[in-house]
Amino acid sequence: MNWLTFPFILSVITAATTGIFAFIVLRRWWEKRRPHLLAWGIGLALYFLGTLSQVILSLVWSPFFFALWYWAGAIMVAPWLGQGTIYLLVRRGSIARNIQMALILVAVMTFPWTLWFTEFDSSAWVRGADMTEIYKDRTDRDGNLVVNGIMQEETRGTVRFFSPIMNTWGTLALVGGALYSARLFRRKQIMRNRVIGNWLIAAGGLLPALGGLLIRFGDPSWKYLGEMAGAILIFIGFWLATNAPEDARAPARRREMTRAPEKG
Amino acid sequence: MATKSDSSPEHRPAPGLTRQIMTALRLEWDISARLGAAIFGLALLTLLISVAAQGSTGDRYAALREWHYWLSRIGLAAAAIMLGLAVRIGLALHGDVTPWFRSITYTIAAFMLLQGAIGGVMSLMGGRAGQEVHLIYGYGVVLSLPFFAFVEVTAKKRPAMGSYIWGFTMLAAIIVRCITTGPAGM
Repeated sequence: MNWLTFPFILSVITAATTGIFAFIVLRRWWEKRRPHLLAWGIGLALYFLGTLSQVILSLVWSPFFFALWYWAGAIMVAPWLGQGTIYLLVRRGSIARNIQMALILVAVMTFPWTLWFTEFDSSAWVRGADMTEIYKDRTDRDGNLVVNGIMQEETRGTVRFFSPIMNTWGTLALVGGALYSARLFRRKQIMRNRVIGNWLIAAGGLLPALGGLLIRFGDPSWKYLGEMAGAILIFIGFWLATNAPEDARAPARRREMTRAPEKG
Repeated sequence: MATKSDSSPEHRPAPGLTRQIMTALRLEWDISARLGAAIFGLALLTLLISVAAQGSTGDRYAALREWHYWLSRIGLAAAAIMLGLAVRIGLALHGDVTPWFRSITYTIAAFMLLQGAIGGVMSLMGGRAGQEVHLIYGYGVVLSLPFFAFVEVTAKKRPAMGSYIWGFTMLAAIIVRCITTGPAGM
């Protein structure tokens, strides 16, 4: 039972949450055909694939699932979630569609790159281990190799080059967009549920990014927890923002309507 | 004499496949498109003759390598010039895509496809690039212009020159990476 570890349980919960969430968002896209729902649906499906790969990698070694874990989780999830927000907030010209095309181009280039052109050292894999602890070489402060990772030092500057860029971009778009929307609704004093929902989405987008940042500073222990809490917070935030009860939707408009007869 | 029902949509003859493709690409068969097609056709013919005229497989490979080398450099220069033009027309003049601009873009995209095909044939002949990832950048070069051209031709909001600013920036950047991961990057 050495596979039934804390990271494994967190991965299972995250995979289940994101799987259900992706299904709900994609079904909503199927009904409404709005591009932001498709972008979020793709982002959440990738979140699910990344965490599902994490679950599988806790049990068995598979180069395919390791590539999928890295490509989906470290490169693609954040920018696709951010893309949904960009679709909602950037309405000028075809800017959002062009960014999406750039994203698709990066996606179709980085997936085969990760899968076929990046060397993985399977001997560094350990059953039940936290993938963020073993996915790359660990070095001491002087840069000397301490433990071999699945992706060795030579892979720096290859597909790994895209990870900080895509994550920074995606997190800025998702978190910044959610905070901007929350501020907008708050200033207009309308749709309180959306204000809270967007705050939760911002917090949910920030948590996995903070986990990723801590890995860079040498502490990978928060990544899985951040991923799980992030997924749950985004789920609740999305639910609140899109399922606001009718009476909470437009108090300002309601006030205007009740004042109207007085004017007359 | 044509009756009213003859000219109704259901009785109108379906446009040919070429016409349908050209409509989808927002391309008119005008002088710019004819010129682009002629330049590409002539280049393709010259390539085929120059390769077929070689006596041995090694010489054929060398001829292909020469074409591959020069197309990458010309492609980079063309991408840089078109990027400059797109910025000038789109950002400075706030203008839209002209038939000439679109035809030149499609001609460059055709040459990039040819460039990719030459690389593929060289690979099948046993050639290897400086780094394996050259293949990834290679297909990035082939895909970058069609992706952004698709956004432009299907854009509901005009002007839509921004798509080509994105497209040629990506193309130029990926060609640079292609060059540095090819034999020059060894």
